[in-house]
Amino acid sequence: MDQILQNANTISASMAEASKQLREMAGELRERASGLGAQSTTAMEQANRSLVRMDGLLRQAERGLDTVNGKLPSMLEKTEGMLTQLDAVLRDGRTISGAAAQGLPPLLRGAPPLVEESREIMQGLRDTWVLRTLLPAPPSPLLPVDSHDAAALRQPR
Amino acid sequence: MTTRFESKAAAAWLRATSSLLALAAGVMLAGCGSAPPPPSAALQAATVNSQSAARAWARGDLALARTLYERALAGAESIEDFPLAGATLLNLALVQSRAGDAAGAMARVERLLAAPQRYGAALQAAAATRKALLHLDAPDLDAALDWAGRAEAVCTAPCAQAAALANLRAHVAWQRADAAGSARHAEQALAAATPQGQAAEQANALRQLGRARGALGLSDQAATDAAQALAIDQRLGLPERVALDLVTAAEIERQRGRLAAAREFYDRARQVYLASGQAAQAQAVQARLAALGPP
Repeated sequence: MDQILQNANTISASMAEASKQLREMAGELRERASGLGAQSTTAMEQANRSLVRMDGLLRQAERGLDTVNGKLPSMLEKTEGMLTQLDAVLRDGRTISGAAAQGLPPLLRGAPPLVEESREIMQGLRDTWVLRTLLPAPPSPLLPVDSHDAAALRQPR
Repeated sequence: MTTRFESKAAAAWLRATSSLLALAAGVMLAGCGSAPPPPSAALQAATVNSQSAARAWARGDLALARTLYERALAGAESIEDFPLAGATLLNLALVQSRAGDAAGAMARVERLLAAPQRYGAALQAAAATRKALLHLDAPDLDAALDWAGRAEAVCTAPCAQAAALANLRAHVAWQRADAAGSARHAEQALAAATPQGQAAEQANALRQLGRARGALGLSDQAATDAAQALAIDQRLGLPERVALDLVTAAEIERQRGRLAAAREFYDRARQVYLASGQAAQAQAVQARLAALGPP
């Protein structure tokens, strides 16, 4: 147990600064995402500069966490998978809140707020063009009309 | 030693962080551009119901699919989104016909056909095609052909329903013991399905082409057709159609006197039916297998 907590604390220490900046960036991103459609090009450029800073954090995180490094490419390729993963994060976040163990490092106890931010950001981005343009086009609402739909054609003849 | 709780906590933190980072990177890659207005909450809700219904349909959960499509329809009609409402009406027709409610399915289609000014030509063509297929099951072959003709009349090129309609005509010809006509329509269906990438309809055409060519004595070509249909349906993961392809192949082998091969195909079809929970069809195939006599 002690060893695990120590390991967790080590991770926490290496990521604490990144996390702090990440939270600041999250707030900024949330603000920008909420009104993105109506903002000017200047505001967009500011947002992009902010995101470049986020990229720096990303690189920092990659150095600290092999997991992130390994998962990120596939997550970017499969945004749907990312959404699913977010749901898992929310579930785990509730688990952490419910347990509220004293022995956990502060950063791990802070996971639920971070998760909440993830959810807010996700919703904001879902509602704005930037993420929607990354997602594949939704399937046609019309199920294909297939001759096999007729029961007569589904019988062995 | 790692406790489950600690592992989950750490994993949660990592996933939360990586989700944010991935989001940020994704946004960064998007660049700049103009912003289309987001869909209304009502349209989003209707679309979500429609997509959930489609997933329920894909899982074979007809009751849930119908419930969700009903919600999607109500949502679409409440904001007069005619494209979504029309598509949902047709989807409900499909779900209800598969559930055995032919009258209910027909009512959905009629509603769409009664208001062409709302739903547009593409949905009208799809509705007419759906109605032709419903007549096929009635069975009313003349009405099926009539509605197939109406569908073709309103379907603009490249007609998305062309292959399905040609396959319907091939089936009608086959039912009327016109193997040559059936083969001709099946060839047309194949020609229409291939360029549009309609693999399932392509396999339907090949299956019927195999049947018709087998009846015409063109056994080698027929066997090739059935094998191609089988390969497509296996790739698409459609057990019911895989079994039909195997039955078709068995019939072709039986017609040319290769009884061992016919037995093998029948047995494979039976296994596929059993494995996919279609016991009645498996029994029907077993009867055909038995009719071949002992090996």
